[in-house]
Amino acid sequence: MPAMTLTEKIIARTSGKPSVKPGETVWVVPDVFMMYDWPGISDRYAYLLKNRFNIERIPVADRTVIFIDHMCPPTGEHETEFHHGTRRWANEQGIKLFEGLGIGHQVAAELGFATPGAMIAHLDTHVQLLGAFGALTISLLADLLTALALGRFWIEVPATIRVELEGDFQYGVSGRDLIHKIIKDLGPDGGIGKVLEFVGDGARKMSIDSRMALLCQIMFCGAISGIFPADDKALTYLKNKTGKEFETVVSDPDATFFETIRYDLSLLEPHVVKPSSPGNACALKEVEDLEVQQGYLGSCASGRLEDIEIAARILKGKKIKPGFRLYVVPSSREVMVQAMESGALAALVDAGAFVSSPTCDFCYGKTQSLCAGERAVSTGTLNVPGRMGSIYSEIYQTSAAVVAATALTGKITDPRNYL
Amino acid sequence: MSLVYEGKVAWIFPDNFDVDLIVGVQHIKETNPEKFLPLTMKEYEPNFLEQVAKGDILVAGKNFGYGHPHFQGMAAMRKLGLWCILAESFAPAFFRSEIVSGMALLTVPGITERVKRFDRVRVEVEQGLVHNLNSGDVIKGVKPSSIILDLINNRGMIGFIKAELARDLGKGEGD
Repeated sequence: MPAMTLTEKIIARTSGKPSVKPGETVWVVPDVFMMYDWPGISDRYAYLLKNRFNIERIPVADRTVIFIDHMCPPTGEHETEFHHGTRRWANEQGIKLFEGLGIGHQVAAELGFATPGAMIAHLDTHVQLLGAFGALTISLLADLLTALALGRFWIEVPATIRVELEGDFQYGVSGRDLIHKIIKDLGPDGGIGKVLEFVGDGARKMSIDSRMALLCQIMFCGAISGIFPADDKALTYLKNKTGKEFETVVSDPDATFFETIRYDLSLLEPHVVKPSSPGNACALKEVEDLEVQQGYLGSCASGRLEDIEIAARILKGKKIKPGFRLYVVPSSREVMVQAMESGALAALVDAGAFVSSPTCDFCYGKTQSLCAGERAVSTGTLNVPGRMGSIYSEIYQTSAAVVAATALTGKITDPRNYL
Repeated sequence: MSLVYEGKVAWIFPDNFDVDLIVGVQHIKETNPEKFLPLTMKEYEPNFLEQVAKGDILVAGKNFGYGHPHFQGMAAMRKLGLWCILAESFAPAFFRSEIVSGMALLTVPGITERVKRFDRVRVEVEQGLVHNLNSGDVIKGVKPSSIILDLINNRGMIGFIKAELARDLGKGEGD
């Protein structure tokens, strides 16, 4: 058997082949199909499956899950009716539906859907964060319809870039800064069509939250996915969530990698992504002291306990700058309850933050709170014009720690000054 | 099957181009094609709509479709009869969503250096070849896999899925 990377092993298993190599196109049968409801997508799928393909019940209903996390809470009766349509369809099809638990990608981790060596398909492009548990996650966008209709999807086997990490982050620096640094170094197309596999002592030292923040944004270096082979930390997380023991799957020692790149995490400094492209990453010091009117801490990328706790550490006992608007949205109900119990959310509310229950709505552009000429620091997934309001406003993507430090001063601020 | 596209090069996009700029980011929530079609490329070439003809070809640099591409830009191009894009490389998410929408996408390293706007080109998709009919140059691209060819032949995933379902039925298995 030829030596394979972790990604190649997962594709080989799900394609029913003894081995695969980069460049070949194969059909794979994923272990889990995921989606959320969205007008023009989920309702169209339901219509097409039934009316164009005469599929009364999709062949993979028992392995399909749907989340209601956008348009939460509904802000009009049409949205409430739309969600009702989703619930009816899921019920008819026998598809598991999850709602009220938070942002689907985070909830999927908490429910233990991502397991070592699993293959997960989703229509969304940020689900790669589930690679934190050694699963390979692939974004299909509209092509999820093919997967639901046929129970399989095609993939060109990607080459793997091995990313060796050593050292540990300075306090106030995290996985979010690392992905911005990687985007800066590789460029928006440096990882095109590849999978980035993160290994080494530094990778093992990274928290699960930090790994997920990093992987959530992996597409912006061109990569199709990212993965951490499951280590003790990931296996313990899964054991705690599911009560089950899992075995890790790793790349063969003599597997072929496209290239190997290395980072010493102890040398990493805070990074941001400037407007108006997610590829526009730079060191924070390049934009330090730029005036900002709004901060958003949340999303599937960075609204986990680690993010909320470091923000609380920075803001505890202080007040955000008068006039500055800080929105904090935990990624899931579980995270929110933990942050309430730890006192972190109380500290943020006391400092002047507006705190919402978990929802995707502050990230994808439903909450249009920036006016022309304003700037925001955001842990959201995207910084394109109009994502948070006026197309004449600007979004600087960054870590939770930077958002919190910036909320204090009203200027882009290095969080290490406040820790 | 004969997958040949012939037309003039309607536009050459730069590297990492965000296709939302085709109709303008302020219009990406507009779902009515009648409204966004007149805006196509307006910011780049006010006379674009008059200059293009059905069958024309789009050319792009590296990582075409980078970002969070919305459907309007390419839907507008298809309305104009443009179904073929040659690029140095494509952003993976864009590639998948446009292939399943019926676009013929061909990766052709060096293409931006070897064609000029308004050159007439013939694209032999199966062979991965681009003929620049003005210069006589033949440019070698990456031959698409048979699945990608099937998708292009079916003008996207609806026809493709139907054909695959019929094939599965023929095999007597649901897979």
